[in-house]
Amino acid sequence: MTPQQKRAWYGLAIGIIWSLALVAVFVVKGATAFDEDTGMRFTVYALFAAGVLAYVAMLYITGWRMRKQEPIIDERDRMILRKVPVYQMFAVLLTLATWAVALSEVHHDEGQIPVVFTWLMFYSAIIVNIVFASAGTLIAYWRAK
Amino acid sequence: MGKGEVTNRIRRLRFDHGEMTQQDLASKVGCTRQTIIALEQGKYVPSVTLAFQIARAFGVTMEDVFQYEEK
Repeated sequence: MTPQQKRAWYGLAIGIIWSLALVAVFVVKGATAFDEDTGMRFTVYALFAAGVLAYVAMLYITGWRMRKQEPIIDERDRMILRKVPVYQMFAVLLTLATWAVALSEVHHDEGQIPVVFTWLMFYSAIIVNIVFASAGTLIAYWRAK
Repeated sequence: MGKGEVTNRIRRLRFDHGEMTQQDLASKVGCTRQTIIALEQGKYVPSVTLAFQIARAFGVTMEDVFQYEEK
């Protein structure tokens, strides 16, 4: 396993825990409560910020530790990692398409969607983008075998 | 010109150099051990720079390490 793969596994673990925590808040409180419940809104903001910070901290700490042992990236890694943005873009587009279809179907008769969903779409796009930085790395290495 | 294949003798050369480990070679040329593994398995063709560095690590010419075979 290359240092980049190790980092990707850590990143994926953080991403999954982070996503599950955010989903749990929305499942327990209900998506529309985001507009009315200030406590829930701050919980979501705090979780969102904590996830980003945890991810950045992981990149920093693993980078610092790995640099002491061996080169953390070489030309083969760079070649493989060039494919990762393709997976990220595909995952984000798929997420947005899923939101668009689901919201259109659910709120079709009302002719409008609650404002909270614009935020949820934004959060989910960011989360999917970060999770697929790791998942895409693992897929790219797996396909390079 | 037809499609060709680049093969190498890295495994053999490591053996000839006192069973040099993949990690030792990787450290000498500044790449990861996984790249050496991929090279030995023929799953990766290195850049000219890395190819020169590997040849230099063994003290031989690039042609002694890498061969191009046309199919």
